[in-house]
Amino acid sequence: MRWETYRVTKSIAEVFECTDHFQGKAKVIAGGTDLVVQLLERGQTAGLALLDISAIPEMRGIEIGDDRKWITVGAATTMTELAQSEIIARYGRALGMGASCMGSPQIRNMATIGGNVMSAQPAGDGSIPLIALGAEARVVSPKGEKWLAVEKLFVDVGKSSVPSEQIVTHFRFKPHAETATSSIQRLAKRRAFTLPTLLVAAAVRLDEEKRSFEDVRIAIGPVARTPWLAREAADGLRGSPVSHEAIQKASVEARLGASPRDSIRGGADYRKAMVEVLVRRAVTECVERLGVKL
Amino acid sequence: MKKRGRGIACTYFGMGNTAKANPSSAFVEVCEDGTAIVRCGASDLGQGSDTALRQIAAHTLGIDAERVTMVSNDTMVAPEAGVTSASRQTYVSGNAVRIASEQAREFLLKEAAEGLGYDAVDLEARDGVIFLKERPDAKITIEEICGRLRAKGVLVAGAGTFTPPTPEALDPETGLGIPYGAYSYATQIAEVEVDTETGEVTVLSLTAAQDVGRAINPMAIEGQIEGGVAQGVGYALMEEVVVEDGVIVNPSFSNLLLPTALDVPPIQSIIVEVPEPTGPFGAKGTGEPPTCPTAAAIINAIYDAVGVLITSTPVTAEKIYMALKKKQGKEE
Amino acid sequence: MSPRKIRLNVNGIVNEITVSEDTLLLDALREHLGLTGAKRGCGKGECGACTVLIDDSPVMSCIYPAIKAEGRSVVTIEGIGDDEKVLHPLQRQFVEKGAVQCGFCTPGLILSSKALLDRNARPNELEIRTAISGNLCRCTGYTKVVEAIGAAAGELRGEAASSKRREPASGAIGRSLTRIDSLGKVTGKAVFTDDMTLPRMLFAGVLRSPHPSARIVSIDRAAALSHPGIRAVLTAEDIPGSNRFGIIVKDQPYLAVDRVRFVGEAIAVVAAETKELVQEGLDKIRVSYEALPAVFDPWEAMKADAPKVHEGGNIQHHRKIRKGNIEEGLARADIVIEKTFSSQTVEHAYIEPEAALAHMDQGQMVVYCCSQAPHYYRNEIAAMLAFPISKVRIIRLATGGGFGGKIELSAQPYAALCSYITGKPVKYVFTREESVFTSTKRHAFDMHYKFGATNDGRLTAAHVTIVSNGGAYASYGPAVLTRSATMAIGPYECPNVHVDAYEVYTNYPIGGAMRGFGAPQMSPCHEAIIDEIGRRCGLSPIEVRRRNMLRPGSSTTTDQILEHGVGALETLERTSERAWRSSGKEEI
Repeated sequence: MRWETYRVTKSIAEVFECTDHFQGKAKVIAGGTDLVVQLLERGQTAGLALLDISAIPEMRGIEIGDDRKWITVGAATTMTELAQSEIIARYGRALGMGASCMGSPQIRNMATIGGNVMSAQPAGDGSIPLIALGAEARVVSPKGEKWLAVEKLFVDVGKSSVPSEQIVTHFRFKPHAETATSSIQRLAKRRAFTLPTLLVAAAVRLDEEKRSFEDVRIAIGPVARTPWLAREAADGLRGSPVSHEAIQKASVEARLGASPRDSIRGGADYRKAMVEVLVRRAVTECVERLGVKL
Repeated sequence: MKKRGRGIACTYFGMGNTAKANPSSAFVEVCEDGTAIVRCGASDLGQGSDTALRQIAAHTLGIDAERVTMVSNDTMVAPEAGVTSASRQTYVSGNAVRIASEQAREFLLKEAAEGLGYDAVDLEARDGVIFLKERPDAKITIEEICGRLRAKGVLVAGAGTFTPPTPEALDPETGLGIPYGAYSYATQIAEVEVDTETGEVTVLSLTAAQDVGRAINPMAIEGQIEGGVAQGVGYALMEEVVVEDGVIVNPSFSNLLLPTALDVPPIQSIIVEVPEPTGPFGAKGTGEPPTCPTAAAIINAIYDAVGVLITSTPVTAEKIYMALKKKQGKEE
Repeated sequence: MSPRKIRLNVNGIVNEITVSEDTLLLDALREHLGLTGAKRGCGKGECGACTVLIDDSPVMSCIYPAIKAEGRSVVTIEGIGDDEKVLHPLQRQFVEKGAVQCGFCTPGLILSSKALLDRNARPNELEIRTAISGNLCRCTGYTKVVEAIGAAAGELRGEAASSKRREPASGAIGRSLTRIDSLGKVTGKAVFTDDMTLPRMLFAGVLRSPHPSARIVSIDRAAALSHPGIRAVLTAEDIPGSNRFGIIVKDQPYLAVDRVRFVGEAIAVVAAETKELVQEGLDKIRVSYEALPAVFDPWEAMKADAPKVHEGGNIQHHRKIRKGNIEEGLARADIVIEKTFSSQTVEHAYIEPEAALAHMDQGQMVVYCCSQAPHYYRNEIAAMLAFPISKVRIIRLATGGGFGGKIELSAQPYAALCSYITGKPVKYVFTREESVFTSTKRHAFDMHYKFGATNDGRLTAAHVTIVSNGGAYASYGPAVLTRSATMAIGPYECPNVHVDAYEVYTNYPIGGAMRGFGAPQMSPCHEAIIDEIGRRCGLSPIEVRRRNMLRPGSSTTTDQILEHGVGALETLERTSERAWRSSGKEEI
């Protein structure tokens, strides 16, 4: 028996009722592409109740608010929906790019952005772009709700900071302004259907004249047990003129700060060297997309 | 920076098991309506041996392949035809089927000879009729012949066995001798693009030529070439079973890394036919040769592109990157 | 766990079925609804063989809970078309274009393609390949699959078919006939072993060694035997006949007696009433081991003081080739090039895992299975059961790929043994992990090559050393080694050849037959060296090969004179004409 109960829930309230009823033996499931595989491998899990949230209407959908302050994405939005969304392509580009690289078409149809973040892997194809976009997650409990920076949700490999009695229902991030965009660079051992050897997401905003960097965020994985924000590299770019040299300097900073380990997906030295290459390419791509000739 | 390169590789491959008998046998039965049943235990895993053997039987008997049914999958019904391996089924089982079909055809030719008033040796069976070679309009349909034989109480059946002409084992001290009765030859050219900063390789094109002796079924042969080359690409660039202290640590598809449709370019196959006299209608095997030169062509193409020779497979981006760095280090 | 009634809308029909809370959609379709077109290739959502459409989108049904599918529309291959006379254009084009080989991945591929064509009537090559990037195919290399999808798109747009092949005017040879078995594969009707069931069927599983090298001290089956639902727990002593098999050397036991030699070696087999109970039974068998020293590296294993994998010593086979005089040949050479290469262990990774369904039928053991060698299986199983050969019948069902990995016995003997002992039909289907752990692999080779050539690029000498990691048992190792020795220098003529090839036992996964049988490992070596010879002599890669290539009248590595059927040069000329000139590499 891999799980004892499978309940397709219809509202967040129902989820909390069930969590209460099953007394700590309930787990939220969306697409299940990670969780089901884990449970199949583990074998017996007596008493476990899976609460399927993928059909809860308020947890789906991609919206841009009327005041254009936030892009809001329901946690149960699938990776395919993100990859195909025009709103995301325009206002949160890296997220759509990341979503389209993940897994395979079938997996993208099942997997959700919420599931990707909650699986707490250091190089999630949804997590890394969200972090680069400065996204926040709405974490809800029976007692109330709060918005947390997405990077705060990762404790360790496979361990989320969100306890099982709480759910992430939405993500939000500020839409790209006129002089802003984002990009990803992904290195993997096969062209599809493969976890990344290295994934870099960069979000860049230039000043009105597009002469200097106003804001930069660079998220990288897997170079640590959780997604890594290359803060020094990004800080270094902020205020710098838009130039090859500045971008190269930031790329080197990122490389120096990253400490990947050897893994079946790539050696530590190689991945460290690739941090520099991918950061440079990601930031350069952003800048070129904004029409700046380097 | 992206650099392109082209590489070529040639291999050859002996047909059948090395230096030992590896026989196949077959039975062919021609029914009273002129259709035929072939029984031969050659396993068809999708590579198309059933179809090729049907075509060989049909061609020998002189009937349409659609009128031949094949049974290969039941050891109670189909006689032994060795292992589907060593690229041997077209060559070895093909000959067994041909021999069995020729034996069955003897009955047809003899009856036709009587009917037409000629010698059997002057007759040919083709496209459903038996006719005089010199004057094709002197003919009789095979269907009619079969009807006549049934009326006479004659059943039309043949049996055949074949093993490749490799008389003895190789000399244990010198290894000299005749290991195979026939060989297949293959040449492949790969065009690659190498990203010099990451070491990633994209295979832009793959052209594969293979000498099959005679193409019994060209589409099936292309399928074998394309499938074999794709396995070669995986072998060259990404596949590896990783073992630590005797334990395979990557037993899943996610880590074994077979090529997906995005990892393999469209493959151009070229069928070369240089007749193999010992093969059925000049044909020999196809299955394994296409996988042999691919990695070599890709490795040579990478050398052409960026000047490094990677001497271990799989040739990963990491290996290329490290080799390029080392080369740069030497040059500085 | 209490059973749960659910309503599933499959192919337009609403079915009420009773499942468990943790039933997966794939099993609901296959076992409850008899829709066996969707296949289990891995059970983890990593191969796409289980693809079905949910609300028109492809999903992996092997990791999709059945309850989750309630209220949605499910479409399987049977819903695309299961009438061979009325095919969907995709099914028809897959057959016409030869895009179906073993057929195991075909239903999944067709469903992913259908989803593509439903939303994109004019997909380009990249869009097609992306749409099927989640469907692994090991047989076709995807070229004809992409062609078929493009042709189906054209058919759906109402366009006339593109150019057809030229077929010969008469006779059956040279025709690109479509395969008869393709129809069953595109409609999901083809029966693979796991698609078959027999009444009152039991399920088997094998307890496998976690140690690479160990002595078996004791096996205690009592707890397993008394576990409810377990019908047999068998060890070596229950085998009526021979406990040894092997395609060349019978050195491998079906069930280990006192020694295990690789991780995954079979020790005991359980027959149980349900699939779930098999694991419970296996978990209850108590084996105590005494770990022994293990050796994994063939060079280490060749040393005199290495742990012995088998009593006769670790060098399983040594094949020599001595043609001409290697010292003279090297002395005569103007150029000598030496290189060392190594190759990796490779898994066949056929998409269908090994499977067998065995039952006794009127005194005859009948085994339905996938196989590349049914008569070999028949003979070995007869020996194992001490039956006359005529009393064993192997029926090879549709087989989902092999490539050399389905030659050696796998699931079949255990299913047969359990069926013989229990008197019931017994099915044994490997998980993907079990398949990878236990099946034979492509041998990893360490190769040292030294070629000598004259200044005009002609080979005078070839000295090759190969060390092959044979793993724990011989399987096809000796044949791979011998073939490798004979083909070691490539398709070239060389008067002086010296080859030493060693097949070495280690406690590593077993090396066996895999497509190419040594040639894929060796060709990077000889082809890199030939290129280098060409560079040093100022010859193009084409010309240096042309000068050395085997021709009618040539003497091979084993001094066989080739008389006929030598198409080597023609393959060289035609490939280079098509693909070398066009790159701007003028010189041929």
